[in-house]
Amino acid sequence: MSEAEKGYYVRFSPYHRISHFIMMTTFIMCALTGPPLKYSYDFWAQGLMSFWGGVENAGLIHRISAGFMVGDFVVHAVFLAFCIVVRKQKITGPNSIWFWKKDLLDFIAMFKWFFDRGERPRLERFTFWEKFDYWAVFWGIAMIGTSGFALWFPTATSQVVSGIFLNVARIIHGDEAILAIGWILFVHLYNSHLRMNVFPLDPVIFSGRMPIEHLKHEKRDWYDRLVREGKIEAD
Amino acid sequence: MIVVRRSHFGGIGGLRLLGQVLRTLVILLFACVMLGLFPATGWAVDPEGCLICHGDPNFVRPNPDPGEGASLYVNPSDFAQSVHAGQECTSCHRGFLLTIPKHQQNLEEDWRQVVIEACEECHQAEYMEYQTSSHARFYYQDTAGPICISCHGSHQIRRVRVGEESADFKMSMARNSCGKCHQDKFETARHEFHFKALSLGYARAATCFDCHGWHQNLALHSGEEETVEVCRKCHPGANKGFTFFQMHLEESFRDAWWGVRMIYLFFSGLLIVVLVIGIAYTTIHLQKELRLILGRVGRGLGRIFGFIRSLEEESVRSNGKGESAGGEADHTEPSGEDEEVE
Repeated sequence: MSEAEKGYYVRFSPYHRISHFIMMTTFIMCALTGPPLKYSYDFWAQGLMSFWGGVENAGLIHRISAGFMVGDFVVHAVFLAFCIVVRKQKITGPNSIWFWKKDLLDFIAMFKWFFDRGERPRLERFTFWEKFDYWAVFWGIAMIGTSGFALWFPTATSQVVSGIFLNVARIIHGDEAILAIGWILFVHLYNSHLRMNVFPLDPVIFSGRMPIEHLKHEKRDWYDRLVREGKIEAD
Repeated sequence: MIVVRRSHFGGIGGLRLLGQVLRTLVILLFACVMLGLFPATGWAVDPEGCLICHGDPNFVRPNPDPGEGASLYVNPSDFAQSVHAGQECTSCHRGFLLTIPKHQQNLEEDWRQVVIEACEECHQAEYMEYQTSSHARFYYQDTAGPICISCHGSHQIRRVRVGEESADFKMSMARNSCGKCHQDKFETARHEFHFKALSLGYARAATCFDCHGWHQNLALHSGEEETVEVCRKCHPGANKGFTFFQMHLEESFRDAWWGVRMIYLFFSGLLIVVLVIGIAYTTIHLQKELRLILGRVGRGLGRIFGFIRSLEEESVRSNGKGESAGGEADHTEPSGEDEEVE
């Protein structure tokens, strides 16, 4: 560990940082090019659409972004398979992003803390809100991605299913997109960047590095485990 | 009435250009009025002199029949810009003679029939198509049915090239011509992608007549070969299944197949429930954090007040015990507050 990195713990590998960055940028592009079409009769839609240079350009940007996003997702699926099959990492346990019993206990403890009925829970490596945000992407890609491809290639879709599924795809694509945008704006951004401890931005997902002092305060159980395993030095 | 917007230019550049054109027009108009040139321009468009009277906005029918418009005004500049500007008034208004105060006209003859025949004289192919349409069938049953001018308007018809219609034109045709009678169809269709894209200036998106035709106006049904052909104009790979896409569904999908309605309700419900839970969680978290922040601010203020009080106490002490009554009243209050904060 270099001198500059002392006092920091590397939480995210370069792969994770790049993966999140692609997901973030493509999501933002899709979120800025899609809604003006859905809400084309609203006052702001015309302006935003002319910013992109019209429906055709916005559609192109939307499709390119969607392609990269799904590509990012596929690479991640391969990565997951690699972790499980080749690296033989455990699907359960504190290092896994899969849900376990402690998430429910943390959730309850969090509410106790919200109402001054207890201490802030001693969180592990992945908190329940991080896990939810992570798995929400799987649901989102499955729903928005599938319906998006169906709408992208409507005649190919109708070779397989009835044209009425294009109506269905439109419903799913729009509703789930609004859900995703709303969730990112109101929940993910708050939990990850606007909380008092990290305000106004938590750079860990971009730099990968987290100050150990901050880690100790945020995720006490993980900190203790890391000290126990000798991965970081205790203060 | 058919309104063809002039602007094919989108965006700010188009606006600026429009502004320049308008400014030039206003200046020209002003110059014309000042030079008394109006009769001359009028003459060029209107050799018969009809606009001498009909070019006056206040020219009205003295005793209009019920349901009949009172105005007899024809906007000269609109007509001068129309595709028919080179035509004389009587080439359409056939049989009208200048016999002031009242035109002599065979009142037995229905003016609608005169109109259709006047259009036919130049537009035979369109006339033949119209004759086989459901619009014509409706008209021949009931004179309320649409004739040429019901969709195209009369004095303001602009030149439009088929296949090169602007998005504005397509939208305004749908809203003002087709939508005048088929309002329910327009209201449902405008929530579909085609019209949404059209309203944002994407001229390639289909409007009513791109699917339903101009003069033959087809009713289209899912699963019919005719409909497949119509879809294939833009979607070359379209098959029979493709035509089961529903273009005219209500926004709430109340009239849709129950499966679609269920999916709509499920995903709308999911959207609301998940967002409400998420935002509620964030809000509850936020209130805790705000209280923590306020607590910190309170402690900070307490420290500042404490510091001020200590300064006061010091000054009281150094001044001796002369003003003890006032001094005590001053520092009992902050000390209580301080305890609460600490």
